[in-house]
Amino acid sequence: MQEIDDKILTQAINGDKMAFRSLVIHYSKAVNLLAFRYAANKACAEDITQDTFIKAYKALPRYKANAKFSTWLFRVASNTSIDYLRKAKQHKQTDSIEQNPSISEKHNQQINHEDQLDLNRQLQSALSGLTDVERLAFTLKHQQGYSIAEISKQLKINNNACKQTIYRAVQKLRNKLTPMVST
Amino acid sequence: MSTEDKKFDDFDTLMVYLNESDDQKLTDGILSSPQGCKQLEGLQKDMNTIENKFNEYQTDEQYGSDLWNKISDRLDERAQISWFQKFIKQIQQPQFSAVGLVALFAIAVTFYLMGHNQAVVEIDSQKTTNQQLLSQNMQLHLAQTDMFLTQVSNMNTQNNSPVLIRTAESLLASNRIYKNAYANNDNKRLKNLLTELEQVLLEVSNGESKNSHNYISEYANKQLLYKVKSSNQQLKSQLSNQKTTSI
Repeated sequence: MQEIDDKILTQAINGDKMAFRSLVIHYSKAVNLLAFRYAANKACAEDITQDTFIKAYKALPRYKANAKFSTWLFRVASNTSIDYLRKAKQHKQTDSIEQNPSISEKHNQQINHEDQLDLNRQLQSALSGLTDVERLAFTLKHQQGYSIAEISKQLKINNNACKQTIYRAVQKLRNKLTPMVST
Repeated sequence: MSTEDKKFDDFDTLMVYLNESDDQKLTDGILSSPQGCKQLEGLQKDMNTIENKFNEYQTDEQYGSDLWNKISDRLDERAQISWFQKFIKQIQQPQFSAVGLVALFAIAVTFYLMGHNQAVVEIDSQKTTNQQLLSQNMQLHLAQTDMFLTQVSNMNTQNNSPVLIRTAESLLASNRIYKNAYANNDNKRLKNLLTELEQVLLEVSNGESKNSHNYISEYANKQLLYKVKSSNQQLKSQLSNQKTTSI
């Protein structure tokens, strides 16, 4: 992903709100997509995206330039997603669109085009077939490039369980999203 | 089915694909086998398809601006950090860290000097109190000696009464104590007076001869009595001055 200009980043770190606005506009879609991968729900992804940027704004003075800003921001998004899903679980909310009419309603209000609706529904359906942990483990590994050890630590499970979780997630996604399983 | 055509477990293939396999031998077997490579290729293709589906996920063109409008009001909390956090953040900056260190050092030195000065003041105060007590006792000693010498000088003849001798002995003992106490004092006049008094009191306490009585009477009348009175007066005025100052 193309990084934002260092000058804008420095201004945002120094508290310039307009610079941070540029930063939000530049990274918002990527963060939202990542949140959607974790949450499997557009409304939840929207909440996670908002929380991610608010947390990032507060934590920005602590950002050190030894890592790419997008890497740092996606890490904030990952942590925010994990927290969000844990809280949602505590409140006995399900992440399945079929099981949660209010989220479904919210979701439908935000989609305008038929094609996009189909695609997003297909993705959402596929992701909804995964448990929270499967989605988190798969996305952290496949999309974010975390190691098994790091994911195990984040999700508080052992390495073998983590590997099995990722395997189950991949199998489910292959069944849902690929026309024919290649194996 | 030959060994080379053996289908590998999907789990093992996935772990090799993700570079997370713990079994190096199995990894080598999959990578060197045509069937293993075929399985990896299929997996790669499916993963690409899945990834492409995600990449087709769309948000509105104005999504970034809309998001900003939703969160911009909630960002003000960052400005509400405490002065202490600001101070810590400030001194963590490289250009301020030296200044911060100097400031902390200055504060430490200030507190040290305050404590030190307080200790000095306390010691000075203790010294002054001791000096006042000594002066008061010295004044009492001089008053008694004054009375004693006046009595001796008023005697026309030699009188070796035991009471006089005991008084002289008592005054002699006190005189020696005060002489030692004033050994390091700057008041030379008082030190000389105590030395002279010691000689006179020693004469009396030893039971004087006729000649010595004359000497004491004359000496006490002409010189010593005057010195005792003036020293006593001087100490009295010093003490009254010190009391006024301390009040």
